[in-house]
Amino acid sequence: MEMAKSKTNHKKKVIIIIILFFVCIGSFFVSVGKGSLDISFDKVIKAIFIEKDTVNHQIIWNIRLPRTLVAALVGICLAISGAILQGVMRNPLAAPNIIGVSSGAGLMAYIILILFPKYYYLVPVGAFVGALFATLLIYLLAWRNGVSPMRLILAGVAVSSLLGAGISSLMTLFPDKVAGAVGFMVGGLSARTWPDFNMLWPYATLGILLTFLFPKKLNILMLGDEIATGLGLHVERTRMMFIVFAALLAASAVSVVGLLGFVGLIVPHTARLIIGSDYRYLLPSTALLGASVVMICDTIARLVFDPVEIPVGIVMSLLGAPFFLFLLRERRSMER
Amino acid sequence: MIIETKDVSLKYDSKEIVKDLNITIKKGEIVSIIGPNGCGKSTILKSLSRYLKPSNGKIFLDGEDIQKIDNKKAAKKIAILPQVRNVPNDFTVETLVSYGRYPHLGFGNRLRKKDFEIIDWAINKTGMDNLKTRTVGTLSGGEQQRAWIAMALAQKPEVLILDEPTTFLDISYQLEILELVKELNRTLNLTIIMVLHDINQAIRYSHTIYVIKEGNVYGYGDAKELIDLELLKNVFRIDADALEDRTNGCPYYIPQKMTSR
Repeated sequence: MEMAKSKTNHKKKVIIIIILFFVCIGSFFVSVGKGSLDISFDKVIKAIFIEKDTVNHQIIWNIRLPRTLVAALVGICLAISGAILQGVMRNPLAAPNIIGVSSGAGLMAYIILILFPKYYYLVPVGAFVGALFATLLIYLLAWRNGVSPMRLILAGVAVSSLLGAGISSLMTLFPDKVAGAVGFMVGGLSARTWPDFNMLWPYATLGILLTFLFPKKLNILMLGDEIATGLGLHVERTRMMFIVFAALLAASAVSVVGLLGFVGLIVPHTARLIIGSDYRYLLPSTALLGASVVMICDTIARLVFDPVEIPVGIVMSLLGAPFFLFLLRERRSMER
Repeated sequence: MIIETKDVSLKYDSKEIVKDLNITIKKGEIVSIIGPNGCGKSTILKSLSRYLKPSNGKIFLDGEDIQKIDNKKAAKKIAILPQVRNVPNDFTVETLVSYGRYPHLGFGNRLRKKDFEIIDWAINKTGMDNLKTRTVGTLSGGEQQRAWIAMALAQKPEVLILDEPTTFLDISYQLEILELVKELNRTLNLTIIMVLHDINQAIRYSHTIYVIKEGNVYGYGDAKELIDLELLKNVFRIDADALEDRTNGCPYYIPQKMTSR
């Protein structure tokens, strides 16, 4: 009977993942179908796979499909990055910005957009490099015979505020040029298309591979450094590997859409409440939920003030912040 | 002998906690390490479990330098339950225990039939059968401690290291854990190294006691004979009365007051 019970537990979680999968598929069709011109489900399929020269095909293939796919990949990358960091740091509030990804990418983007606006096309690459550089800096500062999660978080806060000061000084010194750079700060998917998709998919694939290869290592890392060492895990090496993965995933997303920070914090948390902390189930759920959330929020961002678009980052924060506070309250009452 | 330290020094950053430590642990014994707060007991355990690398000297496990043994191979011989540990409240006992198999798993980290048998055996051995599908968050302190011990047992180690296994437990759970430790030692010939705060429990449950003072061995020997009033005064700064625990055939000390400094 006991054995049966743990089997049902497993089954329940697999069912949740399957449901999330369908939610994700549903979000995809909503995102591709809804817009200034509503296109129904069957026509979307036709437009993607069969038609070649219709208006529907033009709209979907050239505009909506790449944007929706970018949204999905961004969601996957940021959400998995957050889930990894929460486990590695053993801190429920860890998110990609804690390892400097947001501030590093932000500063580089601002430097390019404000000081060298001619080279605006270098923003994705610059942001990517800035993000990784900030992570490296934080990691080195936190190093002292190894890196403890607490020192890493503190170093992250310090470096982020330092880089943030850099951003603020740029904004103060060049107030006339700020307008063009604000978009990056809030994060948006407007006019994202196939090249953006091509930049993202390798990293998203990496994220998806991770969900299948290493969930057990993350689980063991959560038990504490001493226990993990005692179980034969190379703690320092493993933690560094995961931080590199998390940085790559978040940096790739941030460099394409700007600072869409909240996904990395809220989505893994929500997934954790739905399916628990076991990374074998948590990683796939996080990926699916991340993709769904960004696709849906972007659709809302396109639709509410149609034809004017609002950046998806604002939608996410407006919906996400209250939801997150609600979850925190729920969780506290659960823990009591 | 199974574990031996040779002139081991241990540092946190630049602060030296333990200097030139020499201890030998015999196979199949229960060894307790006692000493006042801050004397380096836990630090010593951390080095025996390979978590803390000696700044000087070497630690040998079955004659091999412990720092040179492959992590997973060492984890098949030594299991550790430190004081600082963490488990998500929604993990089941079974899931937690299954991590004990980690060092034994091959590529892909999948559990095989044999692993499941060993997990069940470890759960049974610690009396957790009817709690195995419960989540760890719903267990009492003593039950959690047994779940962790089950995880360590699933490693199938030869040595089990326990850092203050009875701290935070009420007296009946303390006894339960120590009886379990004794039973594991007797039936599995498992070598146990533990830090205890209660001197009387150390005397009653161990074969050998190491007394640590200011980062080095003050004295060691047979648990029933080593401790006397003089030692309690010098190491723990207490005056005590000595009684005899006839049921368990060992001395029993009642601390009376602190000695003047």
